[in-house]
Amino acid sequence: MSYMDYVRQFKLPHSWCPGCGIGAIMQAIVRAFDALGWKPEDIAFITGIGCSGRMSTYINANTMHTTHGRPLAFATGVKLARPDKHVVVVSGDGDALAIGGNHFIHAARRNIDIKLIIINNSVYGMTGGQVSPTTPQLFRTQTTPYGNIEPNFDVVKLAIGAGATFVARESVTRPRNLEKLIEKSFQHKGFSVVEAISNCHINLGRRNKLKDQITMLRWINDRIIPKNVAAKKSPEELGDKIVLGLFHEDNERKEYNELYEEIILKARGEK
Amino acid sequence: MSNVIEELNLEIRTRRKKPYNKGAKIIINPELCKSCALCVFVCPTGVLEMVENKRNIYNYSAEAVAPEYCTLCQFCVYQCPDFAIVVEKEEGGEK
Amino acid sequence: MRKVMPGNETIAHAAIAAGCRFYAGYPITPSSELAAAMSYLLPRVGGKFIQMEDEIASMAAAIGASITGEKAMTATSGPGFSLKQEHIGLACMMEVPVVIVNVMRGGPSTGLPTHPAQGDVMQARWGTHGDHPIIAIAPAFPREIYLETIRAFNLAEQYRNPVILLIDEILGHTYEVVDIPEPGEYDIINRKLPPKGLDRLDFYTYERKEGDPPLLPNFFMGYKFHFESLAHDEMGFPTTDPEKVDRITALREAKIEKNKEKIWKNHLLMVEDADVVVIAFGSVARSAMVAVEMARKEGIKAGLFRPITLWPFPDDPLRKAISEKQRVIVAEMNLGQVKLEVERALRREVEGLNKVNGIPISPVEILERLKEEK
Repeated sequence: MSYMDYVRQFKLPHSWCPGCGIGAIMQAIVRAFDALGWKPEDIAFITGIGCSGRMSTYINANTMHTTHGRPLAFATGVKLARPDKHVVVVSGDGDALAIGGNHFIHAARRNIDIKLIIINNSVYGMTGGQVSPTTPQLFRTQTTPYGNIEPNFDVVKLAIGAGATFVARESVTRPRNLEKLIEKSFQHKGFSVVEAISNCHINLGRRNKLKDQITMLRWINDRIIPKNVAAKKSPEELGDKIVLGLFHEDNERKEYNELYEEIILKARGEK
Repeated sequence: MSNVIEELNLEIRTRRKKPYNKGAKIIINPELCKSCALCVFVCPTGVLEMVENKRNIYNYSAEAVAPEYCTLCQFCVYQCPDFAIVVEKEEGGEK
Repeated sequence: MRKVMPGNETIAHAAIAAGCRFYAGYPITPSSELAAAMSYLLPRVGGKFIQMEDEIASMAAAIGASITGEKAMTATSGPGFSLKQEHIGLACMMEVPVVIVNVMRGGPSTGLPTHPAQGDVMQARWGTHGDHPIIAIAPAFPREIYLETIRAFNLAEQYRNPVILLIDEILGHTYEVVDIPEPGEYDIINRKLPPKGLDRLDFYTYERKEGDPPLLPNFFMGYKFHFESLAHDEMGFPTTDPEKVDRITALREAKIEKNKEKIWKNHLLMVEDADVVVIAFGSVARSAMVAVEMARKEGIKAGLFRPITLWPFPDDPLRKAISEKQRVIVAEMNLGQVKLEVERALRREVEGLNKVNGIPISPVEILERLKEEK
């Protein structure tokens, strides 16, 4: 049970709703820490605002609960100041892709060695269930009472387009796969993004005929499809299914701090 | 109990094909368990069910009613959002 | 050593001398040269510079670096200062040291990017939401800009709070001879850290008397400490318990409130025997100094009260220095922000000499006003 060393056990039980996937994602993260043998005091764990943002209270490491959308910017400061430490950011779909969208694409562009986990429950849960950039079209939310007309981001395509060098997606209903993927992303040197599909039955599901955790997880299981299985299907068969797997891994591109170290050498070499 | 939970329990019972008798000990921490039923839902062999529990605010909670079917796969442990369930082997203790 | 530099560069050199090894910023007129200077100077001393994607991210990165123990700075002007407010409040809430330079320009909004103004005085105090303490410093002369930059870092480290360094476009851009002080001529203050290896996490109150800053650990020091933007308890964890919220709020306010005397800094010129006192800061004070000298030659007993620390506002020093009988004129390149504070402190109405069209207030303008009957 040594992964519990990475949990502030005196803060449990946590405040997430019964059946909320965030708890399982947190378990996958601390299992990954344990598998890699990272020391808690060498980890900076930084979160934004929202239900996902609350995770920093419960992780036993150097933690920060920052402002909405900005954990990546704080993390950039931490990583640049201490490139030898492990910097992990957990952010929700609204936090990372709406208000934090700018920081998302620039952290990816820089390829700075920060490990981002986006907990995508397709809603702004903490504030009562408003539409987010990943809410399925036609879904009812507090701010789309007649149905959502907006199309979604494809987080994987966005991350790859912005320059992230490790991009993957998994589901909270496949926690072992999620853990392995997170472990792999932690080992990657460069900007990594793992999108974890999660459930918010209380504030999203409830308005869309998925009013409890079991029903909503069944719905997620019906929508997900692993990459290798999806490859054999036609686009019509795939429809709007969510494809899971590792989509992009580039180990050649130099990481930001590596490049900046070269700058320091250059500057010091100059008169 | 709600319809969903009753239906879940019925489905669970159909998962019990043959007992493995691995001497599994499934311990659920009542201080951390939020009765979400995810462990019941993911168990491939129907070890757990939601049972009535007047001491719980939801009036039901998860219980390992058929531990002989446990394969020690740990799916319930991985899925539990609350770190509330532990699965061990009788002698010594394995996690 | 003497060097010809504009204020923006002076601040950059002084920051390095103060031990600043992290800068995150965004280009904005008239502060961009400060960022450029830091991008050149920092790697030469092994420090880190990054131009972030926007002002908000710059403020965040500076705070992130500060939490690891680095002295960090960012610089901006009016529009960027508005953007940074949320994170300035976060640094107040978390009690993290950081220095923010605001090279003031004509406002509001995009305003007059290449012209000076002093319109961000109240914003420096109350720009971010909620009740919070703040320190703001406004130097006026080249060597003073250098030394006050070092003092800004010292105050930030000592009180674990954001410190705002206010200059304007003139001071930022005008090349002047800077008489650079030697390292022995100033002190460097570093944040106090808790001892290592304690089995506790309640650092927001650990050995903290009223008026003390908290002894917070840096990241990676060994403590697994939590920095929180929500209202928090002694260990930094979120709370809504009214007693705990009151306790931490009181300690945070007392940090500055109880140390006002040590933070105040004023320059008085011929105030004691003056009939009329001009109150001005920054570049306007330089015009006021000339005007006061010229007035004295013409037989007008004028004086100058120049606050260098603007926040906490020097109300007590003002009350002690200025008598009921003295006529007071507050000259500033805004519509009367310092005047509001002066009137509050002196409990009477005073005169204002205000200009917001981007043209500096000249000594002659001030002299003319001094000569006018009240």
